[in-house]
Amino acid sequence: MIKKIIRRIKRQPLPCIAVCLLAAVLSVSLCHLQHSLEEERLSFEQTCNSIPVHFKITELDGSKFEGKTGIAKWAMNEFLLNDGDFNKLSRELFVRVDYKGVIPEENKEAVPTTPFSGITSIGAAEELSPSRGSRVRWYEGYDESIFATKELVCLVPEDFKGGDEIEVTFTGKDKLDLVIDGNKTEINRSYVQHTAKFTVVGRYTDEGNETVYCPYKTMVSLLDMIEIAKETCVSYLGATLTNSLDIDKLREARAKWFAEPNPTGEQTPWEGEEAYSKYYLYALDIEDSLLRTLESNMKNSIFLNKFASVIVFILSAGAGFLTGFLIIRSRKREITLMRTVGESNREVYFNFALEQMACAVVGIVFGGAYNLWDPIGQLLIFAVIYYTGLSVALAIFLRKNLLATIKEDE
Amino acid sequence: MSISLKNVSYSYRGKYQTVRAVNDVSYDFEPGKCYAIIGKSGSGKTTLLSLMAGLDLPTEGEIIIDGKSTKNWNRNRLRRDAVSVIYQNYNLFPLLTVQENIRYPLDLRRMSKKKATELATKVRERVELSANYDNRLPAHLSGGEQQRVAIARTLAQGCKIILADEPTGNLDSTNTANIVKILCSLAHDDGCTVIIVTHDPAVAEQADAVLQMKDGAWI
Repeated sequence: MIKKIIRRIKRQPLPCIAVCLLAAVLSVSLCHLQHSLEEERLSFEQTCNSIPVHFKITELDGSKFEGKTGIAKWAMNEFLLNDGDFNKLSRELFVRVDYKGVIPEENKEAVPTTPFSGITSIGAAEELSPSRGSRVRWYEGYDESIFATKELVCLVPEDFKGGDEIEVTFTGKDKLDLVIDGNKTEINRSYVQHTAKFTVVGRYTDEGNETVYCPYKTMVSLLDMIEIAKETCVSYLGATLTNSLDIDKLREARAKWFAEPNPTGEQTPWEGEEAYSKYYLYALDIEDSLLRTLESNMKNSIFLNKFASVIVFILSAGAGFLTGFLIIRSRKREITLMRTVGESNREVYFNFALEQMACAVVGIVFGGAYNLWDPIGQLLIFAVIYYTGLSVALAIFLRKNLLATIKEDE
Repeated sequence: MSISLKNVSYSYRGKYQTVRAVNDVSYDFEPGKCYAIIGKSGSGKTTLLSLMAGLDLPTEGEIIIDGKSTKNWNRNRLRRDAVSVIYQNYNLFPLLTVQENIRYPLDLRRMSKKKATELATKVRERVELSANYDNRLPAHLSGGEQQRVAIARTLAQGCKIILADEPTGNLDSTNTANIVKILCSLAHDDGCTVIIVTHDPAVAEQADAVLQMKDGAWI
């Protein structure tokens, strides 16, 4: 059978070459389209990932905690300590969690000389962000990573008086001891105090801001020494997603634990799990507008390309079907003859199917090979093939004897 | 191999009505004889021939070939082994050479190449074609030569019933005489049952028996 097929292909090369070329062109188009779809998808992921998605916990109206009580202790534990549910999520999704600790209002005399904050990164102190006109000048050998440590270092305002080492005295709550000595009763008042020497590692410019920033862990350990660490508040809690495409997981988490910030400050009905309803005291502000715009634009473009690819596929499949159909129709007589000499339908089918498949496979192999090579534009190749076919057909017909052609038609 | 028609009728559904092309036809064709079926166009002779060739089954009655109704024959096997048809337009495979055309039925039987070539050469010589024709394509042959190749293919097939549908319709008188001579010799010398459908009285004259059809029935 294979010999018969080869013989037939050799003796009628033009239709076979046509099928071969058609298969090659179609496979090139389909491969190319698939390739560009894949590239577009990768570029979508890369572009989305290059846009950092930050979020922060805010009051229900979207305002930050600054100057307010700050996030409650139980919520803080949930987000900052390892046993919290949200913390498990943060380990999975967030590249960095930023927070800023402040001394609560009722203990503001703990550091009477200057406002004092503990931060995990510059991102936790929004007032220091370059977008707000602030600039940080680091001393040699230091950078932002110092805030992740527990060292006695600090960042001070540019015009902060004093040298590169400052001494801060932390004073705890007053203690009242009742002393009864015979008939004499006295009340002794005492304070827990601790003095720490900070090395200045950099200075910042931010008009009107006089806060001294130290690493969050350092601050907590110092406040622990004066026994007010448990009352530390977090005035900023935010994070950055490791992979921006995980934003849907973050939105899911928000729906479970938080409200969406509502500028009117009104509390919308709680729709999350009952167990987490207590967190509904807070909103989670996801800064994803840029990502959403980009995501929507790119998704539209990918959708259009996918649609185009489906159309091209349907057209290609249609062209392939029509070619096969017309080729068989043009050889109806041969098929009838094969049947009249006793060839079974199955034999006839395999004869033709294998012949056409052989041509198509050769075309697809060439198409695939071209796709790997791919140096010239698809359009150019198509034009060249089209004009070659046209020219060959014209050359053949124009060289024929006119009388012979007329007789052939008769 | 004998062929018998027993009350054979055949109807097909036309565009507006059902057409009864063959109407209650009976006949026993004997081996070793050459028969001619004549009749006007549309009299049903080609339809009858097609039924005998196993291209379709009669709607009523039956055709008995070698003692077995065509309904019980595997029709591919019937066309391959028992009944061979020669057509007016020769029906040669256009992409195969003369020798490949003659060998085609032998290849279907998976005969060895050597044996098939020997047999093909033998039957080619029988229809008086020289070895020069072996590698020619049908398009390069005259009508008479093409019909002789078709007969050679039939001979190679080895069927004992040979049906010819207007085999000389496209040929001149010399070629017609040659072809009819070959067909008659197949009946008389090889013991085949040869049935020729024709319009040509000269062809019918050569046959051992002439049957005339009108409106799907014998006259």
